[in-house]
Amino acid sequence: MIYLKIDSGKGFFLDAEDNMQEIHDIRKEDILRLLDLATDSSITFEMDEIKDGNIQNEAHKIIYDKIYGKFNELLKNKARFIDESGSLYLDAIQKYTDS
Amino acid sequence: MKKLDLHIHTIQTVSDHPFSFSIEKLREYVQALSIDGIAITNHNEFDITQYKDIQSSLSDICVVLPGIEINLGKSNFGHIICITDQDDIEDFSIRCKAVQDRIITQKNFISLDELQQIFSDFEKYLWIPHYDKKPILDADIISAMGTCILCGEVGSVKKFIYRQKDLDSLIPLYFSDLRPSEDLEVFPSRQTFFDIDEISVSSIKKSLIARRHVALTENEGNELFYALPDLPVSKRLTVVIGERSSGKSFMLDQIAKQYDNIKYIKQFDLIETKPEQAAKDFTDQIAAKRSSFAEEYFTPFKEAVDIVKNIYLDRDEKALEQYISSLIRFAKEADRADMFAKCALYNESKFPARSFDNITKLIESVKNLLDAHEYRDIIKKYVTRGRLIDLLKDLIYRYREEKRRSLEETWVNDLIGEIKRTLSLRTSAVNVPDFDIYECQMNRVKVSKFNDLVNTIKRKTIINQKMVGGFVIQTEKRPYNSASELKNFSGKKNVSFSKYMDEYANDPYRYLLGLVEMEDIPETDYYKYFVYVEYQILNQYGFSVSGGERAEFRLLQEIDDANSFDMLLIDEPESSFDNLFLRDRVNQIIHELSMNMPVILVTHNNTVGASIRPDFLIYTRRIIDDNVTYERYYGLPSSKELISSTGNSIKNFQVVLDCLEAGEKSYNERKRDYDLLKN
Repeated sequence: MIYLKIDSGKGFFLDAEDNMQEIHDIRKEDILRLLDLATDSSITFEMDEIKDGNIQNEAHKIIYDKIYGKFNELLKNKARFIDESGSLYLDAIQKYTDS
Repeated sequence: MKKLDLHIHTIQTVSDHPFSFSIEKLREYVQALSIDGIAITNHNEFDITQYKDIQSSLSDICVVLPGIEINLGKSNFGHIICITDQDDIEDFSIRCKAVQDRIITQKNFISLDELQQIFSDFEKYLWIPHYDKKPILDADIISAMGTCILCGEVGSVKKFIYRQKDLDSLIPLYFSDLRPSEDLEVFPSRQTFFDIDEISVSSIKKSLIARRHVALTENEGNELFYALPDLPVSKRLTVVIGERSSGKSFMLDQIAKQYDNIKYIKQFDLIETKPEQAAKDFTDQIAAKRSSFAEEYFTPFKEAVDIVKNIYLDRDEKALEQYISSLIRFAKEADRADMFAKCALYNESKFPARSFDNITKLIESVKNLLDAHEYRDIIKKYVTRGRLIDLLKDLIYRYREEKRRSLEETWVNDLIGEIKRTLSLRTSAVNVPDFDIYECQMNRVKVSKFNDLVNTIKRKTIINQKMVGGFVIQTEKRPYNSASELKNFSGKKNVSFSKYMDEYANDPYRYLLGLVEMEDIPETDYYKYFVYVEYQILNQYGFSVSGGERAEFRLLQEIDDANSFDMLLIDEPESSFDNLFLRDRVNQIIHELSMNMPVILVTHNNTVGASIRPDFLIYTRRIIDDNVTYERYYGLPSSKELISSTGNSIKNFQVVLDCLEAGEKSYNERKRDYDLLKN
């Protein structure tokens, strides 16, 4: 499914109600929600690639470019946050589960 | 009984400090102490040629058993001695070579499995682990070797007594661990007597069936040990009497040289020559001893100081002003904002940082409940282990979830930061800086609470009173009285507190910032500059102590400290104290101490000497012929006669009357005077 889209020289993101919104309206909560979707292994997180000239709106270009780059990097290691937080108190869980 | 020393080094290995072995010195040692048998036990090495040389050199005076001291362990190691019979040296040498090959540096050691492979039949040897002596052999290894280990080496007479009494312990043995070298001056009296007729591994092992078969002296069973090669003393309390200059202090000095961990309170040690200086030193000593209490008491305050010293309200205020003014400007220019400034993210604030203190504390608390042994029955009464485990898991899962969310938020914050930076480069609109109002307000609350806390803590109060033998150590806190008092406390020349005294009195937070500016004050000490802690020793009537009382207190402290030593030597405590104090306090404490460790007390005083009821008595006498020599007589207090190591004897009754009562005549006269007074 496409979550970040480029159309008519503008950037768009899919909001919580599954509507495409212009990227200049994106808030931090939206990015966090997209992050959850991007790291969910059951979801295929797709984005339109930003290329030379396919976004003309300069503000959109800045935001879309940064978000696209960061998500692209993240998709290579979806389990990153789970790996980092999932090992907390691993020993304790094992110890008391066995006892 | 045979006197054995089964722990002697004759080779300087990687595990030894430098020494050069002398066979003559070893011979001298064996002869001087009438030792019947020794074992050569070098670190991880058995030199068969050297062993044969030693054996033939000493064959006329003692039995020499072959042995080795091995580094044995798991993650770290202890020592164990292995001894075999004289006719086994060829085979023993090959096995020891296998140990030597594995231990190249002083940190190397072998495992129990390797030991088993090398020596295969453990039953054949006499094994003596370091039991209550460093480096101690791992208790698991001792239990894994089972009945092959019957005894263990200890490092002091005190430990020998303790282990001998404890029937669950291995049988204690006490050896010299000697390195006989040319420059060895004092021969140690650390040997053990075994109830055996011949000296062999099997007879020694047979004797180790019962604790009573080993002792520190030949005749008196386990009541005595040799403090000097020719001088037995009690394992409990020995009193030494004798005329002036009869060698009593000399004897204590000799004993002090023999052992490492001895508490020796010398004569006149506690008398004050300069009372003023003595009073100051005394208070400083008490302060040093009690400072750990004060540190503990002020820990929560120190934590508060550590937090507040990093808060800069002025900086917060400036940031707030900047935030508000830019916000107003942004609002005014809103209609003129360009497309960059109109983006929602341009004015987006960041996700605040999450704190995990509470949840990690909860997790640790539940873990504590699960790990508790002592009060497990009470815990079980209210909550089952299964429920606690479920609770722990739930908390951990929640913690992981929140942690994950926090990592994600940080990731988003970074992204937003980058976008905002890039947008702000392109816009002409006012940039509203990030400002954490919550944190700003929290800082203000923290400072206000800190000020309240300091005002409370500065109040003059007695924070602790500890009773020590009839005295009270009082710890009191109070505000500093002046800048010079603060400066004196700091002990630094280049600091001045005078410009901060207003803040000290009225604005503790500003005063703390002043301390931060003073580079000479270490950060960790800031909290000490808010309240002065004063220590006072009061006598039983609640008054400050006099010079004499200070000496009494110090003696009690010294004796109290003695518990951590292996032996206590006291030389004439009566030189500094009155009889009532000696009888009521000192005697009682010495008696209690002597239940667990040897105490040797030199005295002229009948209050100490007679009423303390010693377990053993030594009388010293100076003999002037061509040279001055000292003769020592010893025996039980109930014996009619005391005997010397050369076989002379002397009447006990006469000695006690002469030394403690100034002779029979004076004693009778005094007795008659007292009777007259009484009637």
